[in-house]
Amino acid sequence: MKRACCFLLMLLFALTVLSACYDSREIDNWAYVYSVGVDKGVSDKLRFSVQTPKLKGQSGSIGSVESSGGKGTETDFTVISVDCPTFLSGVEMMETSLSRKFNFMHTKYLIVSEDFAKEGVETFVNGMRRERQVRRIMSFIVVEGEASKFVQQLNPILGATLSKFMEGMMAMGNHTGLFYDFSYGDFTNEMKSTRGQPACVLAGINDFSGYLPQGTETKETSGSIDYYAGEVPRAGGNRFEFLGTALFNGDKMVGKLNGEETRAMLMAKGEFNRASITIRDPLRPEYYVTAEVNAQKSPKVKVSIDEGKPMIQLEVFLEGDLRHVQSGINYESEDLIPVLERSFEASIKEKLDNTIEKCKGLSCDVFGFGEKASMKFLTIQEWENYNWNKQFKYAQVTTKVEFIMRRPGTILRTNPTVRSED
Amino acid sequence: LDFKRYGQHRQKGGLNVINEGKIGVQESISLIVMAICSKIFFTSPGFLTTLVGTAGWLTTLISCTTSIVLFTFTYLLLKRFPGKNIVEVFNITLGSILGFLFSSIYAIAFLFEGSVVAREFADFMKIFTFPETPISFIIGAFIFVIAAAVYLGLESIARVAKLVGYSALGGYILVIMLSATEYRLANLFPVFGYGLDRIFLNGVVRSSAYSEVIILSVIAGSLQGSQHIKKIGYTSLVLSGVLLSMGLICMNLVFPYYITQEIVAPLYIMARSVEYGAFIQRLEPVALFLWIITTIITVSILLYCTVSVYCKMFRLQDMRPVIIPLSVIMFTAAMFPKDFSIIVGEYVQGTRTYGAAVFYLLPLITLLVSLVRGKRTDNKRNHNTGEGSKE
Repeated sequence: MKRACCFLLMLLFALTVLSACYDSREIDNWAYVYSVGVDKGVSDKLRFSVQTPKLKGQSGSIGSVESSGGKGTETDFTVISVDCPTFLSGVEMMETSLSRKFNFMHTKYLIVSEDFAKEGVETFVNGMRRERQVRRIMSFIVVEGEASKFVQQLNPILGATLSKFMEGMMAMGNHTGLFYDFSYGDFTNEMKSTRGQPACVLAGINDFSGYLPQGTETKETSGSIDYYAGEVPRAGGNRFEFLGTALFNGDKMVGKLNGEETRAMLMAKGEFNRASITIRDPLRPEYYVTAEVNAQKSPKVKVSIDEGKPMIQLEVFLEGDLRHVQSGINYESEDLIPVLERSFEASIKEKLDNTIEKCKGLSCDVFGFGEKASMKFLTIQEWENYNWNKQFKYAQVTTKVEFIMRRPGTILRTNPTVRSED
Repeated sequence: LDFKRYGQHRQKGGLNVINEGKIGVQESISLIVMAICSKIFFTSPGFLTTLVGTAGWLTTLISCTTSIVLFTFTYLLLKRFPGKNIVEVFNITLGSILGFLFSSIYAIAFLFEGSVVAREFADFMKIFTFPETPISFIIGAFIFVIAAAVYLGLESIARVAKLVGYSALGGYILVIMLSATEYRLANLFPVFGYGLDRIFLNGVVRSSAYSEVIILSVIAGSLQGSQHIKKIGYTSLVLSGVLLSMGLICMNLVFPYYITQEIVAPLYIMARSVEYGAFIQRLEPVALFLWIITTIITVSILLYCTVSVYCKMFRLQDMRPVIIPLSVIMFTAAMFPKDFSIIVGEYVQGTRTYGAAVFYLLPLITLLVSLVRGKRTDNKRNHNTGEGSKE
C-alpha cells in the first residue's frame, strides 16, 4: 500500500514536470533579428527598424530558410520599421503584427543614422544596454542617410546566408584597413571613457553616381583611398559599402575619417593588420607604386605630461611587399629600395600627422593615447581631474614611421620595356 | 529552556550530538573555496570596483590577508578544544546562556547569508535566463535542491564539492583565458584606483568576503583534528584569494572601471563576449554552469551549517526534521527583499561589511574569554571538560 502511494505520488509529480515549462518558447516561436536600424523618429522619438528572415514555407529554423533562399533574394528578409519612444516599446509595437517574438540574441549589426548620431545616441544606447538579449559583440555602425533604408539594402548579392555575409563583411576591414569593426561593447565602453572617445564603422549607400562615364574631365587624384562610405567611384555590386570611421565626442558624432585616415588611425592604435597602400612613384610621379603593407610590430607610444600639456611620441613600424610598379623602374635593386621605403615612410607619416591633427581639432582621442597617459597617474581622482579628453587637443604629437620593403613580389628585377622610339 | 542543565550536559559530554560523518582535506578545501569564490559571479566585483576603482584585485588580497589573521584566532580557539565544534566551544567557554546566544547568532547569520545568496542567484537567473519565470518558482526549486543536498548530509555535499570543484575551476579558467583577446593592460590603471586609503579600509572591512572559512568551525567535529583545520583553513583562504584576485584582474583587464561598476555580472558578460571566429562564441552556458554549481554548493553548506548549529544548540540527534522548516524559513527570507537594488545595496553589502563582526569577532571574544578563564580541553594543561574547569 505504501509503495503504491509512493508510486502514485511520483506519477502526480511527473505530471507537473513532463508537461514542460508553461512559459517556454520553441525556436519557431522566435523571429531572429539580424540588423537593427535607428533613425530620428517622425511621429515619436525614434524610428526603429529591424531586419528579420521571413521564414516563408518553414516552421523551423532560420538557417533552413536561408539555405532555401539560396541566393539571398529580396524575398528572404523583411524590414519592419516603427516610430516609438524606446527600444522595447518599439519591439512590442512591431510584434502587434506578428505571431512570433523578436529575438536579438543573434543580431550582428546595430546601425544608426548620421543625423541621429549627431544629436547623440545615448538615449538609445543606454536603453538597449539593459536588454539581456543584446550582445556586446555586435557591430556598431553609423550610416550616412537613413538607417532604415540602409537596412533594406543589406541583402548581399554574393553568398547564401546573411549572417555569414555580415561576419565576412566585418572581417574585410582586417584585409583592407579601410574600416574597423568597433563592437557595440567597445562603443559603450568608450562613450563613458575618461581616456578617449568612441568611434565606429562608417557605412553608406552607393548610388554609383561617382562612377563617371568615359571622357568626363576629373581632377587629379593622389592615389589614396580618401573616400567616405558611399563615394567610391564604382558601378555594380552591393549598393551598401563600409568605408571610413565615424568619430564621436561622448555620444555625439562630431566628424568622420575617410579610408586612408582610418588606416592611419589603426596604425597609431596598433590595430592595423594589412592593406595595399598606393603612393606616387618617387622617381616618376605620374605613376603609382603599390605595396601590401602590414604591421611589423605594435606601435611604440610614449606619453609624458610637461607643465600640464600632453607630449606624445608615436613610432609606427611597418613592412611591406612590393605589389605594383607602374613606371617599370627597377625598384628591386638595392639602391632604389631605400628610395621607395623613404617615400612610403613620408607618405604614411603625412597621413598619420594629418589624421592626428584632424582628431585633435575634434577633441577625439581615438588612438588610445589616453590609455597610455592614464598609466602615468596613481589614482583615479588625479586622472579624472587631469581631464584627458579636454587636454588632448593641446597635445604635442611627434610621429615617426619605419617602413621596410621586405620582398619584391614575384619579380626579382624589372627590365625596361622596349619601344621602337626608344 | 533549562540552560543550566543544557550547559552541564554539553560540558560533561563534550560529544557531537549528531553524527555528521567525516570529510577529508580535499573535500573541505573544495567546499570552502567554492563557498568563498561564488561571489565573483554576482554583483560583488561591480560593487567593489565602485568602492576602490581599478584596485579591486589588490583590495581582495588585503581582505584575504585580514581573513587569514582573523581566522588564526578561530583556529587557536578550536586548537584549545580538539574535536569540538564551535557550538560546543561557545558553551564550554562562555557558559550555557551566552554560548546559546552566540550559537544563535551564528545560526541566524548562516541562514541570512544563505537566503541572500539564494535570492541574489534567483534574481540573476531571472535577469539573464528565465525572465518570465516567477521568482518564487526559481527560489522554490533552488531551495528544494538545497534541502535535498542537506538531507543527504555533509559528506555528500563535500564530496560533490570535490567532484565538481575541478570542472568548476576548469570552466573558470577557460572563461578567463578565452577572454584574453579583450584584455587591455591600460584598464588596470591608475593602479591605486580611488586611493590607497580606500583600498586598505575596504580591504579590511570586506574581509567578510572570506568569512565562509568559519564553516570549518561548525564542522570541526567532522575534520581530522586541529592540524587539519589549520591546513584546510589557510589553504582555502590562500587559494580563494588567488582565484578571486585573478578573476578581478581579468575583469578589470576586459572592462574599464567605469563599466565594471555598471555591469550586474561582469564574468557572465565576459563569457558572452568571447568570440573566436564563427564557431567559438557565446560561452555563457559555461558561466551558467559555474554559477549554478557553485551557488548550490554554497547555499547547501550554509543551510547545512544553520541546521547543524540549530541541532547542536537544542541537542537534537536527528537533523532531518529540522531541514524542511529551516528550508521554508530560508525560502521566506529569500522572498522577503522588495527589489534587486535592496538585495545588492543593503543585504549583500551588509553581509560583506558586517559579516566579519559575526563570524570573526565571536570566536575572538570566545578565545579571549577562554584565555582569561583558562578553559581548554587539549592536553597541554588539564583536561577541563567537566564542571569547575576554571584553573
